[in-house]
Amino acid sequence: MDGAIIDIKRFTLHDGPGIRSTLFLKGCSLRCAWCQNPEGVDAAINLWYFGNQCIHCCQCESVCAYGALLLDEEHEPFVQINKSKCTRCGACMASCPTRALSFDGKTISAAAAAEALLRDVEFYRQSGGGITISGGDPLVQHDFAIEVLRLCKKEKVHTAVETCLYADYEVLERFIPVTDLFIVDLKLADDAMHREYTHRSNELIKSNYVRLAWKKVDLLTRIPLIPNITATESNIAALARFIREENPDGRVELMNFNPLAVNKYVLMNKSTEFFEGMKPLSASEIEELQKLLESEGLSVVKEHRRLRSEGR
Amino acid sequence: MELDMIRGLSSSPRISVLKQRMLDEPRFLSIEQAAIVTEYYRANPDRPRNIQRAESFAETLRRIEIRIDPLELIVGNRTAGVRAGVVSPEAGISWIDEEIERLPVRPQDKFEVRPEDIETFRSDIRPFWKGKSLEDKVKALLGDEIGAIGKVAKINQTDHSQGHICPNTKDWLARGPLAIHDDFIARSKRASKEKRGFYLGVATALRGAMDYIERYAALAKRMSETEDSPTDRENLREIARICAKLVKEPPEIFREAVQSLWFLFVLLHTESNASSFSPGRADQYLYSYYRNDLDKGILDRVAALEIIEALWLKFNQIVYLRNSNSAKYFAGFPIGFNIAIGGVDDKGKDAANELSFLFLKAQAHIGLPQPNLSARLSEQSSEEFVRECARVIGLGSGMPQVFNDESIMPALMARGISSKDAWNYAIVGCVELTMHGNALGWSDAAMFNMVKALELTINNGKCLLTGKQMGLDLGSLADYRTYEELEEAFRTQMDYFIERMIKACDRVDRLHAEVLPSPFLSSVVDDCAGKGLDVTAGGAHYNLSGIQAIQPANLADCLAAIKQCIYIDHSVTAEEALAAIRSNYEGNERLRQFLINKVPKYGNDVDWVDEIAAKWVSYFAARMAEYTNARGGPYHAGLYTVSAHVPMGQNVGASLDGRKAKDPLADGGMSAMYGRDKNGPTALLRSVSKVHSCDGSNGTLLNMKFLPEFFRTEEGIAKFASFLRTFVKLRINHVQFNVIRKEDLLAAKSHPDEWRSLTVRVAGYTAYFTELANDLQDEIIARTSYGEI
Repeated sequence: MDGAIIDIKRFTLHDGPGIRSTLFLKGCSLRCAWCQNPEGVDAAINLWYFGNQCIHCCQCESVCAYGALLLDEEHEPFVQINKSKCTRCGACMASCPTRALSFDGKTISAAAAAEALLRDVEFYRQSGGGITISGGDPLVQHDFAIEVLRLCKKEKVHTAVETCLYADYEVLERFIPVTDLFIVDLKLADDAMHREYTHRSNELIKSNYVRLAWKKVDLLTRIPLIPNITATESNIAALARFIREENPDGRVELMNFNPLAVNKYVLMNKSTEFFEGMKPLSASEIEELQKLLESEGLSVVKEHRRLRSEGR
Repeated sequence: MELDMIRGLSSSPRISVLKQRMLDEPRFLSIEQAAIVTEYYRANPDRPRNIQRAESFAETLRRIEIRIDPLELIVGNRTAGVRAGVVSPEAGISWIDEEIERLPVRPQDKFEVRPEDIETFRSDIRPFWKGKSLEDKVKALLGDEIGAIGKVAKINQTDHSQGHICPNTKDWLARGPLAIHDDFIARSKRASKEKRGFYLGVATALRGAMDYIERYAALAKRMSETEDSPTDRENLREIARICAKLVKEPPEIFREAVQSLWFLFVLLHTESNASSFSPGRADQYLYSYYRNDLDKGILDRVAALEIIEALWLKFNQIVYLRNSNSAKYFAGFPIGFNIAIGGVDDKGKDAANELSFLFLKAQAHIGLPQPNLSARLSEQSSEEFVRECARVIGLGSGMPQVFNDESIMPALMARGISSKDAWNYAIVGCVELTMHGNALGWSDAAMFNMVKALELTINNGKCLLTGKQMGLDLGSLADYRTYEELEEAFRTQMDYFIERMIKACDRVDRLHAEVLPSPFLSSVVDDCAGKGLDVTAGGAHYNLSGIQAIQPANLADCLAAIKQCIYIDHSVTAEEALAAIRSNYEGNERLRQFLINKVPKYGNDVDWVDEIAAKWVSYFAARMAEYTNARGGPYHAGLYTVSAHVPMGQNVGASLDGRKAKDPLADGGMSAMYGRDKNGPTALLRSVSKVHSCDGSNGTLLNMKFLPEFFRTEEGIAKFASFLRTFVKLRINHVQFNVIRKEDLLAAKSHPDEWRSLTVRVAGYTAYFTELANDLQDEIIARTSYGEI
């Protein structure tokens, strides 16, 4: 079985216990305005151009059989990709001497993905670590994700899944036997705001959260701190109440905003308007929000971590 | 073990004052010993060389100016000033003649020079030694050959004493100089006529040593009589008592043992002026003194730590003067007081004790380049010990570096070392493996530049930089029809240089025995007494020679590029590749980028590339094993460059891994080319583990760089500890860590005055960052770091 992945990153330390490798899958059901891995949103594989790595050798244009590339000395970006003409054949990428022209992912089999994830099995054994599937969101390519998890479980490796829980519960339930830890993102308690900023309602997410908590799985809840949107006292307090009611023993972690992702939007020629003036929260601001969680009796993971942005 | 108690200990004000005084004192060139030795040789031209060496050594010890700081707990140095650059005329001084005026201003390892010393040196010392020194004799015998093969096989030990020895300190402490002296006298009486001179020479050297210790007793006593401060007066009296005792008797208490140890190393450096003598497993052989004192209630852990830290400062007072070229290879005057803590005992059990932890504590407090602290880890190591190592590594002084008992003991045994000596291994110099107290490892006999050998193989034996015919003309890259044909030619080219290199090494080795016999050293290396042979002539129980294979990363990357692009997918033609490297990629940046980005690189856990490195390292190691050195022992291979990857790179033209002409090679020895390991530290460790650890029995070096954030939390420390445990499991011989922010290094580079005590791991040793030359600073800044994880 094949799946579309962004990448496999080794030596990840913040997606579960111990030393880990994390598989980033393509495809996400939400459209968060602050998305830190925008290349993960689309399940299809796309060709990208990174101008900062281009040495202007112009080979790509001559090898493209479809006339999909246009070189423009006058304007940025230097190489323009006509998405409607591009067949994603990869010829330009093969001829590119740098990684200026790259696919934002690749298709591999579940067996190959598991094999790559298991290369560091000795590190997992020594550290109590394992593998994590993230994305995008693993629930989108669920059959592929479950197969990879199953193959890793077979080698007695700890498995974690990082998800926003936006899927039918029947899909989610199939993950339970092969997943040791669910890392679940909750973003906004208010549904209107949730719809505004993620393009989806939070109803399904909440009901999945409740059902998952009932199953007594190992569950770590993460809340991304987006200044003035999720990182408000009212939102954190509301989420804290919800978590306390449904999952009182669970751990909660606040993930600080990471400005590095903006750079990625620039490279992708996407608008960065949303991020203008946005700064990570200070340690004291985070501590204030953590107190709100603690006042509901929740156990808070107190590393000051930032949202991940896999930079290039 | 009282680990919580040890964890809470702090450094004393005495130590901070002593440390500051040492760092504030300027570093001078010293010709004092050279003048005494020259005077001696002038007056005694006809004695046998070993007697001249012993008597001039003893004469130096009787006359050289000595100094005690009333605050010092441990005393002794080979010059009155600290960190002096000592001139050794017997080994070689022609370079000093050429460079003496530039010593204060040269880019690396500067020394102040007194004008009157230049005068004495030029009029008195230099003329006498012309043609007599080791250096001049090597030049006369081998000069052209060393130059002719130098870019591929750099022959070392041509102008200084060898050193790189871990003496039998345990025996020195157990018997003391007088008993050892009497033993040699007794042996001289029983010896055959030709051996008698050896024994008498050693006894002469030991008499000088005792006189020297006696002088410290007298000086301390004199100073105590006029000292106003009661505590300092009491301290000076204690120094006088200890030194007077150590002249005749072995030490009994901890402070006496540490003082005796330090005298031994001062004496060894006075005799040889060599780049490394290692205390080795000091936590093991000092433990009984420490334990007894604790049990008797005459020592507590606070006092023990202060004595250890006093010794740690002492290790920083002896530096090694190198010529400017050698200072490029070994920047930051590493002197290699290497201490190996932890490890296993003779029953395979964890040997770490309270002293191991106190040594780590001293390292955490002092954080200077010496000692070169090494931790031996095994599968038996306790979690506390591994974590304490992790914690100290996280502080950023680059120490302890980490060695792996599980791979090193089998590697040594594969070289014919008995299991009884293999478990007791120690480290000399930077990362070189040695047995304890009974070996002359000659671990830096030469460095073999495999990348240069490949260059000659694909370019008709011609140097890409000069066009000179340097090696065999076996054809060019365009002539080899298959990759296998190329490999065959490469093998032939390597063999050609290996043969010439070994011959040269043998001759240098023999010249050492002729010019620089070392009677004092021979008194503390096992089997010299029994064999009646000087250590330079094969007196030690083990007599190895180590040659470094340089650099597996670049070699694998070049061969992978050739294999993939030229012979498999034909994306590049041989002619195109040759034209590119002949022009240093001028006008062909596209091909250079293609080779860098589109061919997998060593260090990323890509099996077929890593296996190229493993294959050629194995080939080199197997060739070494076929040769026997001048002292009757085996050659073997090492995989480290210290900082030589910079000058070794200057000898190599543009290479097919995308490296430009004269750029540095990969650092360390086992490391990936900087910036080319993109899959993180676990992938790098796995790549390194594919090179057989047995093939690096002379020592291997892997550099890694982590950001300090990693060590901020207990959870981070625990993860790092498990990283170290996996390193043990993967059977990699060595790893060391630079833990420092890039921003700090940049700041230190532009404001050196504010960062004078900042130390970084250069390669197998730690140096003051601000005292490194610019290009080496830049190179350290550029090395990959893992941390934002």
